[in-house]
Amino acid sequence: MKLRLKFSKEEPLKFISHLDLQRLFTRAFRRAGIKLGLKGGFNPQPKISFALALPLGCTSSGEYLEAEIVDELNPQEVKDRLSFQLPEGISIKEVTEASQEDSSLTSRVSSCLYRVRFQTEESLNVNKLKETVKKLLQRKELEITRQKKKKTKKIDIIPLIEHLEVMSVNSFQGEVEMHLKTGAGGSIKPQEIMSIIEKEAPLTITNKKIHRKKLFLEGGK
Amino acid sequence: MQSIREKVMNILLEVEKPARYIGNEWNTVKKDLARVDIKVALAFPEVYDLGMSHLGFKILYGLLNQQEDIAAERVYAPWFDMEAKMRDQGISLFSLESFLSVKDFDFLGFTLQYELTYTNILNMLDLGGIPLKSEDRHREDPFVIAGGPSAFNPEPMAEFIDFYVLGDGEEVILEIMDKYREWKGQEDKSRKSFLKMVAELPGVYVPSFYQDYYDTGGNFEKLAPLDAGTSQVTQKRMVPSLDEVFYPVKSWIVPYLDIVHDRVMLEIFRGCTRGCRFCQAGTLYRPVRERSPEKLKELACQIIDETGYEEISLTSLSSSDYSNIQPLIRELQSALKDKGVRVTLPSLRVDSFSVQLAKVIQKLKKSSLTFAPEAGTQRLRDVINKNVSEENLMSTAGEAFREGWNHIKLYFMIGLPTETDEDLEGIVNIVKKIVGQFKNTVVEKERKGRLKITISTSTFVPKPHTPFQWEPQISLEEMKRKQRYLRDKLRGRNLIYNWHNPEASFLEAVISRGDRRISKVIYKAWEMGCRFDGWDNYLKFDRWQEAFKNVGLEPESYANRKVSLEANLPWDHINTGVSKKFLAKQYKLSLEGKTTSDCRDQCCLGCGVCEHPEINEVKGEISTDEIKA
Repeated sequence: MKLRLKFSKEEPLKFISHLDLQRLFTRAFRRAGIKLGLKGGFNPQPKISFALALPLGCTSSGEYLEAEIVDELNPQEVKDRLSFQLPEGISIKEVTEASQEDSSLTSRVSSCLYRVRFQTEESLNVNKLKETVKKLLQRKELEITRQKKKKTKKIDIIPLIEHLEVMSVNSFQGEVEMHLKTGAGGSIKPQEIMSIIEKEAPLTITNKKIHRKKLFLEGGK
Repeated sequence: MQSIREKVMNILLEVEKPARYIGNEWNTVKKDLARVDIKVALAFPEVYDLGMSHLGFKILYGLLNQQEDIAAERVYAPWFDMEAKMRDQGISLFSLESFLSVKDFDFLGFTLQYELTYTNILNMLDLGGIPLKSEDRHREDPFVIAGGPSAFNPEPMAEFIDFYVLGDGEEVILEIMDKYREWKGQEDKSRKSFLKMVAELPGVYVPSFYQDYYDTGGNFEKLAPLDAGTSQVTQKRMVPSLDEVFYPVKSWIVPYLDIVHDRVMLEIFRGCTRGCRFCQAGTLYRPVRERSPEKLKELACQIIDETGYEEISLTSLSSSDYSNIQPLIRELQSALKDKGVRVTLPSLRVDSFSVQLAKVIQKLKKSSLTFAPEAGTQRLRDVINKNVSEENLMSTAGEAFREGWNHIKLYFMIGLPTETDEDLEGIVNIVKKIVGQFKNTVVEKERKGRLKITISTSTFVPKPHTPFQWEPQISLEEMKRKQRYLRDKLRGRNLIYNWHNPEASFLEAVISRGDRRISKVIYKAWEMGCRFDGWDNYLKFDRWQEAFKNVGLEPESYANRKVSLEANLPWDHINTGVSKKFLAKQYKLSLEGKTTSDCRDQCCLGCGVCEHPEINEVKGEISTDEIKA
């Protein structure tokens, strides 16, 4: 049967990579005595797939993975058994049975909601920062250049921003929330948005903590 | 003030592989340090990804943490980027469990696996704010202790290590802890009084209780106790039976990072009786002690349940020598199959039996097979007592090809005693014949992929406590010439030739055979910025040369000198249980090109190790069972 797990990845596990996380889950399933289905005959790999890799350094409260398990088990039982085998920093919020007909999770992720808390060298003014963001969003076009190996690529990011808002500001600290598109139609990273704000404001960010609050899925049953 | 943990977390996004420094892995033992009496830091002088796979530490970590009043925590060498950040932010070297400075432990124990990690030890002491030299430490500093194979010549690190533990650590460590409890309860709490107490334990060596002497020519003369009451020699400790001894199960840590050897290591036996004359482990880990199949099966299942690992490797110095290895593998496979766990063997003997074993193991994916003929001609293989013939090798390769493998890895040594260019040519011939064997064995249309032969050569290092301890190492120029020779001849579309860094082999020889004066060179080299010397890209050989010059020692006089059989050796005071007389006899036989059989096959050869009081009997017999595949 196919299961969908919603989980969080908190400190200090934000320092482990996506590959590390895949290994962590595979081993946790084995410790929990839940057999994963296998794919590929030559070098069989467990059938476990993640909606969208979380960049190293980010925390999240709404990640998804899908796993094919061999035995028919109650999703609640899977949640209980697996939770018992996970280290501090990963917790399972929900386990549901997924439809076999659904297209892959990865192909269904359309956008993500992020919260970024940051610290600055200079004192922040809430109105000024809000104004910066407002002006930024009013622009018809905003191009950024991405370096990929030797090629540079220009991308207009305005259509990729669903929402961007200054939530709070407190002298040297600020918090913004952003709802950003991802998937085949192009994607933008929260770090890239922060760099633009940094440049436009202008200000010097000394420390930032990125948290993914939610993944939005489209399609499926 | 910020804690070490907070400071570390703040810099981790700026370093490579931050997961090296976060601890918190599955099965980590975390104790309330306020509620334990003894804190032990187990320090591996290499980066986390290498150090984490070390079995010895897993054993000591589990065993110590089993004691209620003791907490054992892990420490690894920070990589260059992390070290720079730590120095910049004033972060002390810390343990991964509690983020406690190593300075605040009662013991800081290093394992000496390889001589080129020694500068890392000094660097770690320095990062921990602990005086580097034993004589400069105060009462509040931890006792800096060391063990492991390289500790069998303790002298090069004698200035920095308070005391050494020789042999099987799990046999001694709790006795040391007992002495520590006793010492803490007594009035005289000087460091020296504790050192005196542990020196009474068999297997413990306190370098500061001994003095080194040199003749007028600057050659090593002897090492003698300063006090009449101090023992002349230190005997290594041995676990008599592996079935009864502690093996980690619940404390088997599962790392987040993809470390080297990321799997369960099941030690199926300790020791090796094959008697290859260059091999130090062959002497140090004698005698052979096997774990019973029942115990192994029990351990394997338990550790897999606790870790969730997908692979379990049957480790030892020569795993296909385990009595009844094949039934063992089959039993483990059937016990673990349902859990989706692979059983693997690290390396193989050169024989048909081993190919059949590999076949049982690599059912689906035939990755590669590794063999170590070590030398290119029968003459030289007889000199080193590697009992492998060319016929063995060819039939083994042929069988491997027939069974579907097309990648073979071969290990050879260059610079072995008595080696000539004819022996190098022998390596080339073997490789060519194996290529021919492939063409003869597998018809063209049945070939799955191209034949690949990887040939790796390391350079012979004369190691203490081996029959070759008196032999010189070949010069650096000679190493380079031999490597060039092979590089030129081992060209071809099927061949890959790898060689070991000559400077690293040279330094390894110098330090391996070093006396106490080498401490000063290591110190100087560290001061000049040497660390991670075992990494080819980071070895700064010119600085080492300068360090030797600065201290006034010639490295060549350690590495390239033939030592007289009558001379005292800087490690003579360490007794492995194998007599010097036996080693000398083996040395003479080698020069006559005479081999010696395995003592498990034939009669006792009188090496001396079984006379040790801790050893009752040598278990196990060589299996002669035919394999039914």
